[in-house]
Amino acid sequence: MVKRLFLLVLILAAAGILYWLIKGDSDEVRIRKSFETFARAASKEAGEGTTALLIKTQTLGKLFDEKCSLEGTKTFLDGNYTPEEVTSNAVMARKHASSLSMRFHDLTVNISSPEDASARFTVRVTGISANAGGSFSESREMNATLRKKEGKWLFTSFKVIDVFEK
Amino acid sequence: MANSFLQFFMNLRSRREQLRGQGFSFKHFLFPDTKKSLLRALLLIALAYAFFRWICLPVIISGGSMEPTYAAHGFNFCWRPAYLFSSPQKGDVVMLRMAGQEVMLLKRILAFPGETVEFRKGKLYVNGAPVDEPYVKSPCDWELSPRTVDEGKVYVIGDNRGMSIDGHKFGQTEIKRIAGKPLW
Repeated sequence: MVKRLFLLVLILAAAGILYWLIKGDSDEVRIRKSFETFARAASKEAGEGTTALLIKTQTLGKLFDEKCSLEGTKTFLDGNYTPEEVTSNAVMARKHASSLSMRFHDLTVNISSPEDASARFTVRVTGISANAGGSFSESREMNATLRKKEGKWLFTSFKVIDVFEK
Repeated sequence: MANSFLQFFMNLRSRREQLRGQGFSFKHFLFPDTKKSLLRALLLIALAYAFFRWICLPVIISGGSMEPTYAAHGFNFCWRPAYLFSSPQKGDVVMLRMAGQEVMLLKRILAFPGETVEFRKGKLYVNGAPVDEPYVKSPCDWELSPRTVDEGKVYVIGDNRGMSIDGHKFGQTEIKRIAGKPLW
């Protein structure tokens, strides 16, 4: 019985290692890492210093293609952005929050060609307003497209999906 | 005092010796059969994982759109099999998935496909008839022109009508988004 159990554990471990070897550095994993980096760079901890701000905004700029579009927000935010514009907008947005957390949930990645991919997810932004001091929480379902350039997956578009139609 | 402590430990020791004499061991009491116990524990973990991952999902309520029925911060479970053998009914509070099940929205079903929905001076009308909503406690001034619910969709609204109509997420949404019902 112990031998069987040991064998089962061994098989599971081997399967895990095999999965890691196959999927470990795949495009999907890289795309998921890009989202993780995006979430980390967009988030702001209470009392965060200027150095952290600089590092984060620089990181953020590197995640976007030369032109990245945002649509479906039905606000002035819809439009096309360069990485520099993304960075400056991020700095502006962070000023309005004393703390901010961005998290991506239920991320599914679809790689349509070696250079193109799309992702569907729910983004949740929570934080505390710097001016009013009240907390805020927003969730949106979104689609994103990415393009591979020089081995890096860069965001090319974001689109808000309407869950409700009033 | 010291004597009573000493007496207590002496009694405990003698009881242990007595149990050992009867073939009892604490190790066996805690781990009756190591191999079987391990398998039972693994099975229990697997079943608990499956149950809370796919059948009864633990959820943290964050947001006041369903106040006062559900507090802005609370805990509940999403009961997935709720509509396995029945269809959603008008007035049901349901959990709606977004891209998946990690973030869901809690709303009340108020109209079905083909029905018209409108708000007049804060009062909800379905098919032109006013709807009695005892769960709505806050004053409401919403105005919404009549609209018909599309096929394959349900019209859902939160119970907190004290919010502004623009700040409240509601409207028609695909029936397939219904993930389940809150357990209580």
